[in-house]
Parts: sequence; C-alpha cells; structure tokens
Amino acid sequence: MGLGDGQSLPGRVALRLDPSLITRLTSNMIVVLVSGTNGKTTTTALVAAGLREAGGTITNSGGANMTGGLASSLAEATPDIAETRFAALEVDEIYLTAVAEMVAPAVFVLMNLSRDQLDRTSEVRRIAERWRLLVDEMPLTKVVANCDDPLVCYAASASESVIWVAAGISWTDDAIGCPVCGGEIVFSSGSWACGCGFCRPEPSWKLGADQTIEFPDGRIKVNPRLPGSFNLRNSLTALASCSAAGVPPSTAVTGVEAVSAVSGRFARYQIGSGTDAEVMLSLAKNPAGWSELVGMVDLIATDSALVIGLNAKIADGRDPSWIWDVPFDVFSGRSVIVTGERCLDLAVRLKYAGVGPLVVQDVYSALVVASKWSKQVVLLANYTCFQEARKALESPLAARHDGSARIVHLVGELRRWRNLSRTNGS
Amino acid sequence: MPVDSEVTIVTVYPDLLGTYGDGGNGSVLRGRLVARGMRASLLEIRSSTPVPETADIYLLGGGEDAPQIEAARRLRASGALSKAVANGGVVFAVCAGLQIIGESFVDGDDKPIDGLGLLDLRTTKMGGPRAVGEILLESSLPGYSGRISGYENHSGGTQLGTGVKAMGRVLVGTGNDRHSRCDGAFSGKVVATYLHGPVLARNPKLADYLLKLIVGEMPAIQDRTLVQLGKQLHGDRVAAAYRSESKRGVLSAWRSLRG
Repeated sequence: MGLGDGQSLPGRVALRLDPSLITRLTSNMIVVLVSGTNGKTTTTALVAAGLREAGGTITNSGGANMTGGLASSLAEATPDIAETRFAALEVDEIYLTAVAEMVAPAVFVLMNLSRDQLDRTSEVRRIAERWRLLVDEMPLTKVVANCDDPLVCYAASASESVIWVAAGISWTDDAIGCPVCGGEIVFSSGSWACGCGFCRPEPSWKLGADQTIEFPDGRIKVNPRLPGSFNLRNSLTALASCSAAGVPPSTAVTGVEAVSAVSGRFARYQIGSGTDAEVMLSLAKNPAGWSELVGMVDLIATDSALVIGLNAKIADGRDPSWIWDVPFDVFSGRSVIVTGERCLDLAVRLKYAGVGPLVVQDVYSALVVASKWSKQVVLLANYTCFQEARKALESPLAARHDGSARIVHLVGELRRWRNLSRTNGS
Repeated sequence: MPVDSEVTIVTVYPDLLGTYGDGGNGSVLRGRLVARGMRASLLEIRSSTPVPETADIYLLGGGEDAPQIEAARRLRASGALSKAVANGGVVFAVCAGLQIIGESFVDGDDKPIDGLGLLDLRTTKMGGPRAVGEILLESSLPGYSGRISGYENHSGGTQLGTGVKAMGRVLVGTGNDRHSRCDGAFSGKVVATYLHGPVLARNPKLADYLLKLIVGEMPAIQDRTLVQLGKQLHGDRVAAAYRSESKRGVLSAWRSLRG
C-alpha cells in the first residue's frame, strides 16, 4: 500500500520496450483526454459510459493516469482493440502534454485546477501555462473547458475551438490571482471577472432547473445514480465531452445515468456478514475535493454515522495541513469518528470546529463502531485510507468481523478513546 | 489588558498567504480563548481590504512566490503592521510570512525584494534540495521550555542579524538554513518560524505563549478533550519527527556506503 495499485509497472516496462505503444494502440480511435485536479476519475467513467452507447470504448479505470498506467490499461484491452472506436482516458494534469503528443486526441476535457498535495505538485499556475501552450499547438483538438474556473479559462482560451461548460467551482482560493495580469479576480453570483477585462466566458452547456442540461441545440433531463450536485455537474461535462466526440446527448445519457460507482467511489458495502449495516465510501484527495464532499455528506447523509479518515503516505502527500482549509464546521454538533494514521490531526481540527471526535485509528474498526451508531455509515477518506477501507471490506477477514484480532484491536482503541475523553462528554 | 475584554486576531491576506493550512493558527488561538470563557474575534483580512492597525494578534502564513511578493508589496505600502507592532500588537509569521517580515527576501530569479523590516533577518536561496519534512525544535523563547513540532517546506535560507534571536534550536529537520541548526526568530512580540502544520494546532503551548503576550496569565482550559487531544497530537508529531530522522539516517548511511 502507499503507492497505488501497482498497475503502472507493466506499462512502464512495455513503454521502455516500445515507446510508440500508446500511439499505435490508439491510432484508429477517437480519443478523449480528461484532466483536472478533481473529478477526473468520475468524469472519465461517465464519458466512457456515454461513448459506449455508440461503440466499443476503452478507458483507464482505477486512476492509473500517468503514461505507464495508460500503457497498462491499453495493453490489457488489446484483444478488443480492433472493435474499439473510442478511448476515454483520465490523464494526470502534469502528464497531459506528454500523453496528448502520443495519442493525438479529438477532445481535451479541462475540468479545474486547484492545489493538490502540497509537497508533490508544482504550482497550479505553471500547469495552466503548460495547458495553454498545449491547446495552442493542437488547434484541431476540441477543448471542453469549465468556464467557472479562471485558470482553466486562461489555458483553454488559447484554443480556437472551445466548448464552454458551466461545471462550477467550489474552491477559489488558488485561483484568486488573475492569470493574465496578476490582479484580483472577483467572484460574485456565479460569475467572475478581473479589472483587466479577463472574465467568465458565456457557457454553451449549462445546468437548467430540475436536473435538465441545456446545450446549443436542445435540452435533456439527466438523473445520475451518483450522488451529490458535483456529480450532476460531472454528468454535464461528460455529456458535452461525448457530444464533442460525436455522440449526441440523447444517446450518451443512458450510459451516463447508469454509472453507480467509480473505482469504489460511492460504492456501498455491507459492514461484516450477517449485518444490515452499510457503508458508502467516498474519496477526496485535496482541499477542493474535500470541500465538495463535506458539503455533499452534510446534505444527503444527515442520519448517517460519519467516519472521516486521513493517511499521509507518499500517495496522499506527507503534509495534511490542508485539513484546516476544509469547512468541517458544517458538522458542528455532530458526532464523528476519525480514523487513519493522522486521526489525531483530524481530531484536533474537528474539535476546534466544534465537532466531537471519537478517535479509532484502524479504519475497519472505525466502520464497525460507526455501524453501532447507525445502519447507514458514510466514510470520507483520502487516497490510501480509502483503499485500506475498500480492501478490508472486500477481504474475508472483514466478513468475520467478530474475528478475535479485530475485537482485540477494537477494545484497545475504545480504551484509548475513553482515556482521552473520560471526564468530558463532548 | 483586562481579561474580560475582547482579543482581536487578524489573519493577514489569507488569499495570498495561506498555502499550508495556516488559517488554522487563527482558529486555534480563538478556540483557546473561547474555551477559557474569554472573548475573541477572528478577522480574515483579504488583500483587497486595509489591514487594521489596532488588532491584538496578526498572523501571516505561507505562500507561493508571486503571491508572497504581492503580499510584501501591499503590506509595505500600507505600513499597518509596523504601526500595529508600535501599538503593542503581536505578530506571528510562518514560512513566507517569516521572509516577508524580515529585511529582504529573493524572487524566483534571485532578485532581492524588500521586506517589512519588523525582524532583523535576511532570506536568500538556500541551494540544494528544498527543506521538506517533519521538523522539531527545542524552544529558545523566553519563559517557554519544551519542544516545538512542525512541518517545513521551503527553499529559502534565512540569516539572522544581531537584533533578533532564534525561536528554537533544531533537533530534527533543517530550519533557517543548513548550517546554523536553528529556526525562526523573535524580537519583543514579533515571532517568526518556518514551522507550519499548522504549528499552533500541534503546539498548544506555543499558542498559549502568544496569547499570554497579549492577555497575561490565563485560567486553565476546562474542556479536557481539547487539552488532551492537543497534547496527544503534539506527542504523536514529536515521535514522528524522530522516526523520520532515523529513516533519513538510514538513507544517508546507505548513500555514503554506495560512495
């Protein structure tokens, strides 16, 4: 654990043996490349589902989104490649140029740019500059871009064929400096502008009332099975992207609506066998993603027991200071279980936000405790903590949750918590 | 100041200086006052708004290169922080904030930029890899003994002048530069450090140290969960710093073995 699913190693070897592998495998396909800081795995899955309604589609599910992982995904699909018309590929923001040069994409989907793990990713403004050069150099590639994100607009506006989508922005703190002039961008009532004249482009795809999507030649109602308003906006982006790839919304919508879980995100698992307690897993990797999720959980899961998990392995970023930027205050007055290797950081964060945290370091034990509070449990976790939870819920040991090892662990955790909060009923 | 009057805490330019969750420092200060039954207000002053001159505590956080330069420019132009210090206000600056309140720092091309001159220190490029990781100090603050835990992430190296003392001696990590084995600086009620995390969440004692500079002696916090969680996190991060150092030790031994 800690370095992802290990999917990229075979691909990295294959690319070393045959650097043109990705180019050859995708040469007859209509390729859609999806990139951005948040929502790209989900949106890629929605785009793939939409395109699949029109023909064979390959995708890189599972978040293997750098060149090695892409090569692995494509190589796995090789037997079907002759019948494949479309490829919907999620690409890491930094790798977008490298991948684009290999696959000659028909469509770029540029979702949003905010800061990711602090100690791993270079400044977001530099990524925006790189994207800008890229779309300028590929004038034949259509760009589906989020008009609500100033940095994305800055990058996309260098292209001559942009399709603006009102996909929303929930995090404005990184984008505040105007990418054109360095001045202050003012956000107000769903729009934004800078004094220098750089402002929000008018979208041709947007959400209308009552879950309808409005686009240049019509409107369509969409009922995604994925929860939360941000998944409705991901569906909007996906339908615009399918349309740019030649698949009309009326065809793509069936596939988009049917997606119910993406690489375990929003998947529901039973907690142990023989119980009726169920947990929904949700994943966020950075402040923007967490802010979205916190809002979603507060809206849809008021009766659920809430478990929040935080690890700080290499794949998560070693520095979770950003938890102080997440508006956990919305959970004020609720009881929340914190878990993961940095559960104490979360506990202190939540305590100062007026939330009473219970500390249970092991993620599976935390879910078991939560299932005693409510039959409906929601887990909000960052990358490796999410993967640990998934693995535990899928493993045979988890099925016997009365297994002695688990119980011993749980008792220890409960004792630790009691010591922490003996005289204070928070 | 009387214990029943309101303490005003200002987060300076969170839109430019807040990269490392530094806003948490303000929440911790306010939280620890409120937990003592005292009154506190926390103001977030964005860069388009004038900085007040009569608040009690001013917090500056970390930032990327361009926003850091912009913040220094605006603060120099306003002069509010110098007046606030003259009025007896406390300034606590972290990372880019430390560099800004010194005499000078450098931009991406090594060109010197004027700081606010609140502390006698100068920052240049440190050279070599960024200093990134858990950091642990032994406090050198007057009347404060104990360790201070944080996370550092900077490429600047800071030299202290004669007018300031270091905030602490480095036990694990880098700190101000690669040679001095010290971190941060203080003079009077102006304190600066490279530690984020946020540092006041990890070190409740340091938070109370800053509060005491304004309100004097304070009653103990009655909320035991708050007190114990804070101590537990501090202990956890102190241990993590020593663990990270032993890992670094093994790595460097391995490198020296390979020649």
